[in-house]
Amino acid sequence: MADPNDYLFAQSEFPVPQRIVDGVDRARRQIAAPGTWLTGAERVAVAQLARATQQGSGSADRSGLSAVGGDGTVAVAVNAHGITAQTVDGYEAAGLTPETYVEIVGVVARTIAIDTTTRGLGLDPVPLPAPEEGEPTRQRQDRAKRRSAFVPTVGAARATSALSSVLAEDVAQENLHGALYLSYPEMGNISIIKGLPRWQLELIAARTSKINECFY
Amino acid sequence: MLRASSLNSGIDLNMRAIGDPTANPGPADAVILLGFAEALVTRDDAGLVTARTALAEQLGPDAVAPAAGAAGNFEMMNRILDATGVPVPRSMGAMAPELGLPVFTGR
Repeated sequence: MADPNDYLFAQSEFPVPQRIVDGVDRARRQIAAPGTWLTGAERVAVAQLARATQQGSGSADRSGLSAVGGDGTVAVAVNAHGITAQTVDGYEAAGLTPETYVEIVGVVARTIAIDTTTRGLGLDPVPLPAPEEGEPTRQRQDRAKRRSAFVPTVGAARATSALSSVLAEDVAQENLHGALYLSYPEMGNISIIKGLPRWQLELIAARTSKINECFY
Repeated sequence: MLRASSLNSGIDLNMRAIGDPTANPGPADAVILLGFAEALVTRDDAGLVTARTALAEQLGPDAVAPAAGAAGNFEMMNRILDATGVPVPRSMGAMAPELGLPVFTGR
C-alpha cells in the first residue's frame, strides 16, 4: 500500500518539491512518536484536537488529554495571540509543567503548519499515523531557565530558541522551517530563490503574521 | 528583511500593503501573493480556489507549493512565538505605521 503522505501529494494539481513532501512526512511521523513528556497517543490526541479546533469544531474530542492539556492545545491552535504569562502560569498551577506545555505548543504549531500547506495546495489534511508505543524520553535541558519569555529557554529567548527547553521540539521546529520555507542558515541569504524569490516568500510570511496579529 | 530582499531584487514594494489590504503593494505578483495568503490563512475556502488559480496563472504552477509552505511555516512560527512569549524588541514598534499596522509597544 502506498504511503499516505506520498499518496496525498501525488494528488496535487501542482508540483510539490520533494523537500516539502519529506518535511511533512517527517513532521507527521515525529508527532505520532513518543515525545519528551507526552506519549505518542497523547501527541496524536493533541494534533487531532488542534486540527479539529482550527477547522471550527467547538466540541472537538479531548479524550486522552488532561483538562489543562486540552485547554492549552485549543488556545495555541486558535488564540495564541491571546496567551499571556499569566495564562501559562495558570496552566502550571493546574498541573501542566512548562516543558509539557512547550511540547504541546510544538505539536500544535507543526500540525497547523502542515495542514495550512496541504490546504494551500487544495489537498485534504495529511493522515496522522497511528501512535507509536513507548515511553516519553523525559530528557531535561538543565541549562533551560525562564528568562524573558513565558517558558524556559536555553540561552536568550528568540525565534530559534522558543522551544529549546524540549530539545526534540526545538529540532522538529527547525526541520520543518527548512522544509516549508528556509533553513536557519538560508535565512541569512536575502538573494535566495527557493521556489519563489526571497521577497515573495517574505511577503507571504508578513501577511500571514499580520493576520495572526503576530508582530515578530 | 522584506525591505532588504525586495530592494535587492529591484522591486519597489509598498510596505504599507502588508497591514493595509486597501493599499496597493505595487507589483502585480505581490497583489496575487497577498491575496493567496489572505484567503489561505483566513480559511476563505471559496476565495482560496480563486486565489490559487490566479497564483498558478500569474507566477506559474511551481509557485503554489512554495507559497503554501511559506504560509504554513508562519502559521507555525506565529503560534510558537506568541504561545511562548518570546519578546519582540520595542525598536520593531517603530516599523508599525510603515507596515500599515497598529502602534506596537513591545512585549
